[in-house]
Amino acid sequence: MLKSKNILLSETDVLIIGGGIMGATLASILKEVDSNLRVDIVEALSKPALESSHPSIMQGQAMQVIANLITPHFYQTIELTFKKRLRLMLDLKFRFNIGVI
Amino acid sequence: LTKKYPLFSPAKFIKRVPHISLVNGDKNIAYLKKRYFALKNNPLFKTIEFSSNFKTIGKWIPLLKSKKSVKKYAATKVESGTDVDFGEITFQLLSILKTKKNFHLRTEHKVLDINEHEDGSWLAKLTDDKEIKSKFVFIASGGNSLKLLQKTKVYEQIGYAGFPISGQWLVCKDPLVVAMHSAKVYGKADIGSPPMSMPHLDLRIINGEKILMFGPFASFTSKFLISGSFFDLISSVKFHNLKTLCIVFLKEWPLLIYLIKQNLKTHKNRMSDLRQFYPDAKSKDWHLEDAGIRVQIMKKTKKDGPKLEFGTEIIYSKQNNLAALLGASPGASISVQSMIHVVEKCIIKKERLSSWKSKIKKMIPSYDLDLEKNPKLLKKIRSTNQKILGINY
Repeated sequence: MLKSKNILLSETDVLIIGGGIMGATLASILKEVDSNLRVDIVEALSKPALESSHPSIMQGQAMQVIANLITPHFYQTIELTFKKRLRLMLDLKFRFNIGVI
Repeated sequence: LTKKYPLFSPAKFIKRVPHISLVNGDKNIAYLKKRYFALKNNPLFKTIEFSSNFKTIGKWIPLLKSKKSVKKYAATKVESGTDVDFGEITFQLLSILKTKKNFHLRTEHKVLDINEHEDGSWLAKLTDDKEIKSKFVFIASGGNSLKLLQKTKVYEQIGYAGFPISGQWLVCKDPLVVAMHSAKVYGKADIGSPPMSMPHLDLRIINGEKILMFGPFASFTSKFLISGSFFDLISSVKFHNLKTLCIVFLKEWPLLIYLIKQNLKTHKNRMSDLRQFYPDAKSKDWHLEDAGIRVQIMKKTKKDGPKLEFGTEIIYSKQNNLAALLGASPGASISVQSMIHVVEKCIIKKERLSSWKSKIKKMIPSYDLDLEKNPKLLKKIRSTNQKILGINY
């Protein structure tokens, strides 16, 4: 019978994948309310907080720029333009197909 | 935490930096004034100030003062604003956690697979044939959360897809320019740009160094993390989320156009955006730097069909033995609120509910309360917190 090569590092109550601000916050709250709780954090990189939680790469409002694209007023105006363009594209395609035939 | 742990040092991660909203043009000024009166009556924004006097605004934003500034401006200011270094908070929290029993931080351990056992526990397979068994799993891996959630095969992830967007900033480190700006100034996009797309000129303090950042400028990427792979986007496309992706792309066509436009911007274009806030900005003082990558959620909704979701979302498995944090903004600033939610929903056992809740209440005095309806408590908490954090004014 083949034996599993895998090494069981630990058996824990809470496993957090990612060593950023969210994981650190959750682990801190848990250890403050119950110090006996077993908590493990695994992080793929060599240090915590090197990706999304890193101060020099946090985008701040970047996503809000995108988010605001769908605010109703703008969305409606774009939607109209989009429909017009779509109609034009379909129309051109139609003409092209006819041309090919 | 400051009382309990000498390692916890707020001065290293929080600084007082006023928050300012700046607009020009009669319509925008009227809107800002209306917003000011609406916010002023809310206890949370009681200290907000408004001015349409250029002399006052010039004092708030000295970089705006120029011979070229002929437009009519209006601005609001919240003096108690802050700049927070969430990376530093993470380091400090983890350094405290490392001193505790039954806590392990394992860096350079990548999770390759996560499988559920019949008893509801999870087995995470890591690099180098290592494994961790756990009763509860929380996935908080930024852009990579979606791919890890897909590996768990929980039913709740069906139909979820992600689209990565990276960002860039114009950065200035010239001490003479930096010294002239001591706020975070948010603008309003001009006609033709997405409304309230909020370009902003920020004073940021990173590892004690003061720098100015202007942006953000969105751009394309196929990676889910800076350290990720260019195949991230393609490998996240599954049979169950393909329809969601296609429909959202068709629906959100303007977003793609916007991204293309942003990608085509030259340094000159970006500088001209910056000059709305700093008319005398010199091109040579500013350079472009990459920001992080966000993975925007796309999902099936009962009401609107496939939809691009904004904001942060926590996905829970049916048995509440797994949770995953997806989405982009707001992120770090709501970490405590969202993690309390995870604790309440998944980790507190019924028999320990009241003792845990009272412990959380001790840590967070406003827990379970609406501060908007408790102005006295709000005032008390604010002044105590400002004192402890060293940001009183």
